[in-house]
Amino acid sequence: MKEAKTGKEKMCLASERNEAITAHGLSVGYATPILKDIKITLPYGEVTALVGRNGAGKSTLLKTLSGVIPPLSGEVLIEGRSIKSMKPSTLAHLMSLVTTERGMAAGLTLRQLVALGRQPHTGLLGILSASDRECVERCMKMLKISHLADKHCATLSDGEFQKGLIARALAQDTPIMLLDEPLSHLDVAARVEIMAMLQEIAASSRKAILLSTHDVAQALRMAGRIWMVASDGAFIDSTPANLMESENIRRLFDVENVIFDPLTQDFIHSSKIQS
Amino acid sequence: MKRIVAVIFLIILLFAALICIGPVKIAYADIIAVLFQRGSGGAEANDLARIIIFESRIPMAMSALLTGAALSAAGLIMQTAFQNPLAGPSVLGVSSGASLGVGLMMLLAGGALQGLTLGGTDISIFLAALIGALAVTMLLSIFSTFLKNGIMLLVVGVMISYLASSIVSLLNYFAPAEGVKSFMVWGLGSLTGVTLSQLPVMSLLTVMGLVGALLLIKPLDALLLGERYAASMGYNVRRLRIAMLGVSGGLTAVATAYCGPIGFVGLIVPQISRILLRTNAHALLMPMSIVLGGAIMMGCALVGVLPADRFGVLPINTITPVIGVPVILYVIIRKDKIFMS
Repeated sequence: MKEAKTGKEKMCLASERNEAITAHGLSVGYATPILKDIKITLPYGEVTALVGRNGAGKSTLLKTLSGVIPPLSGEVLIEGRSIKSMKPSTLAHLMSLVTTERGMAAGLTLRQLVALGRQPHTGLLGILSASDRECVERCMKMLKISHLADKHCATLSDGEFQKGLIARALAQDTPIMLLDEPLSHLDVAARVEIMAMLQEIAASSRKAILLSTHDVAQALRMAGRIWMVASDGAFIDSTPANLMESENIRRLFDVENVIFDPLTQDFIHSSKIQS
Repeated sequence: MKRIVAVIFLIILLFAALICIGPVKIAYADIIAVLFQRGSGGAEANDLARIIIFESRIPMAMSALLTGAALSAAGLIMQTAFQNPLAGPSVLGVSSGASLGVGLMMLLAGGALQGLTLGGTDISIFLAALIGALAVTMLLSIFSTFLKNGIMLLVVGVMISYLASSIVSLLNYFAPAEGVKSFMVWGLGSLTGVTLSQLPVMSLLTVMGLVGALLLIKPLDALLLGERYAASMGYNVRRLRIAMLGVSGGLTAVATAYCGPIGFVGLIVPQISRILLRTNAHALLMPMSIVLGGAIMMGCALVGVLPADRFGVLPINTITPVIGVPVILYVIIRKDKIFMS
């Protein structure tokens, strides 16, 4: 009962602001811009999928939005505040990160991995309070990995480890979650399962979830919004339905004989199309 | 936790052994008399025993403990900071920097600076090593402010190490024979050079460094997932890198300044700690590395003095690789990769 109430309170708070990340006239890249003069609005309560071909700037955009690299022009606003003037410790309470790197985490148990998410909430020595521990258990439960809690990360499958990383980000308790290709290396079952979990998290706790992915078909089926970097460098922010209806989805790839098939809602080779 | 306490008991045992065993045979009764009836005066034999125990054996046991703890804590910090299980104080060029400092003093200055004394002890070697080690640490800190990637910093460290070694070789080539000999002896590492009067300062500096290492436990855990994650968990990664370099470089500098460049300990002790504890979490790994480093160094010291009545005390760097090389090979070839990547 109590938990439900705090969840509702949080919902009220978040619904006052509907935009997690905004930017106007944003150009991103290292020396020369990869994406030029784009407008961005990341909504709460939905999973937004960032798609684009390799090298289109998905990763660069995510790094810019999380403050790792500065924008070439424009300004990234997190809940209306400029990310540039924000301390890392402040940002850690607003935005959490998921990638696929295992780093040196192999020797941590899954519970220790998830507990890393509590770091911004603990003191100098990082000692977990009772409520921190409770949060860690709750996050593992949400990802359905509680039974793996005492296993070393080295012994987990890619899918299980990925859920652990998502649980870690969840334990950080931030309104925004950025996921950099969280579904690569995973089999279809794990992709579908994790995507559904992310949708559930976004909806139930009104988080803004942005993930980059190569699985366009799945993004079209399961994401609430799509950010697409077209092959001509255009940035399109749309719903999956609009993207397919307007045929903008065809601009994703510029490869001869690879075309979008509305029937299967996926890209296929033109020789395979049935007329 | 139990294992850490067990290692602390081991340290106490080794301490007792290091007081009892040495090149000069002292009867146990005399040792007990010296330790528990201080100032009772008495027999001449007791005076000799007192001098040996307080001026040689206790300083050696203590410097083994402090050096082992310092190098191991520094090694653990570097391994996590550079995401490389084979990083260590001697890899990053900090030890080479100390060697270069001492080499410049002993070989180039031709002993002109030797004999610089403070409170009756020669501190010239200590100062030269400290300046050399801190210079490399500072150089690495400067590089770390504009190098984005920790691995690149590791490469810079290795390069600095080569550069320092080549300058030392050059100095050796042109230096007179006696200078080369004394420099070589220092380079072998020695736990016997520390005197009782130097011990308080050495202890203070080492303990300060170890406190710094314990304060790094939380950020080191965050770094296990990489620098991007650490940044997302609220750390200013550049500042954190400088803090890690400062603590690990400072610990290495102090240990090397007093005992010469001692290899392998900083590299292997964190590995053995991981194997014993089966974890990468620094809350346990850091205290374990500190106490185990002290214990292993004392064990090496004990091996060094065992044949002392026939050969004298063996240089410590001839013993550490005998323990170190098998451990490194084991870490590299074993199938259980849990704690590697």
